[in-house]
Amino acid sequence: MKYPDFVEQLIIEKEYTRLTPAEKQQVGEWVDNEAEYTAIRGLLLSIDDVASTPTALTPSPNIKAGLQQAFQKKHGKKPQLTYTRSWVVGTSVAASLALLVATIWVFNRGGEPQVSKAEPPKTENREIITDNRPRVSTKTETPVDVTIDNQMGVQTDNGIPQPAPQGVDNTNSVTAATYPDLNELMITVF
Amino acid sequence: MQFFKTSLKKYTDEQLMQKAAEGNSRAFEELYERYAAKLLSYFHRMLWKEKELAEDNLHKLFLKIIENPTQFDTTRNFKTWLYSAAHNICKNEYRRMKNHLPDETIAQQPAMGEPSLPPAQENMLDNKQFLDALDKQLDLLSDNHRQTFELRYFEYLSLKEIAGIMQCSEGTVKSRLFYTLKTLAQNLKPFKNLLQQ
Repeated sequence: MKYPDFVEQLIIEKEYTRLTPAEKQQVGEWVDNEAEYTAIRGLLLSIDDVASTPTALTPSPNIKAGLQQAFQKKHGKKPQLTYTRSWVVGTSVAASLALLVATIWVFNRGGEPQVSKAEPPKTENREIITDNRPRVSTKTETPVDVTIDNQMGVQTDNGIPQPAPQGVDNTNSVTAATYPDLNELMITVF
Repeated sequence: MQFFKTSLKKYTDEQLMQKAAEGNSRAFEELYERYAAKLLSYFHRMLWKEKELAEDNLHKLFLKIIENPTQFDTTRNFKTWLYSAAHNICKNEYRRMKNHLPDETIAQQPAMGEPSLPPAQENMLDNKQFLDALDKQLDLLSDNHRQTFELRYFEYLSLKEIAGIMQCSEGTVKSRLFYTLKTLAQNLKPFKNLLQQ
């Protein structure tokens, strides 16, 4: 309804002959007779057609550009940054990837066997060479972590290599295979 | 800093105006988008269908908003205020034209009921001719009658809004509208068949 606040809507919607007595009284304040009513009705309908037709008039882009400049000059600000949808999507994807990479890195780091944290080998496996002599050492004892190579096992008293303790990953460990002189070194230390 | 572009569509004109006055350029742009085309069309119809003149005045109007935003009282209806400013610009243009044009070129308002269109072949009339004739008739009206008519039937403003813009009572708006409707209906009689379709 375009004219809810006055009689034009009624005039547009109804021919004079279809008006109720109350409506005739209402429009009678403004319209003298049926002929005038009909003429005004025709005019309103035609104007409605004309006004409803979209006009091809669009403001020149120069007007908006000029106004934007004037606005910046007045308020002394650079144009506010606005972010297009593609920018938002790109940033979101990059952030998600970064988060994923960081998560993977943290998990890998946490699960990685640490030489120093590895379960210490049992005493019997570490004591490769024992004797009853008291240990004399003038050096400061530096803890040496020795883990067991899966291949070599441990040289026991009876000379039979024993398998390395299960559950210990020796991937990065120091082994006798890596260092052939390890046994000699250990003898020196002990 | 605002990272994501929030829609300003949900804001009222008055809220946008307040933001624009505080320096929010996007609020100003939103207001421009809402009203620029309508006002251009209004100026175009009111100012002798001269597109350049209409565009100049559209620019002038929005420039006023930028330069004097405090002139707008946010408790008022923005649309009414905006059209009031547009109405005043048109009045200034009429004054300017009257000062520049020789008297004989200024259209005289015809007496009511005086037919001013030559008889036309009814079957040759079409919408284009009707529109041209309507424009000519509107040009003959007084500024107040014409503006009231334009605001009502082309901008679809309410009686209250028009009264606010024209700074008169709603009763005066009603009287002006029906005076204009009767005058136009009388003077556009050659288009009787078209008008009755």
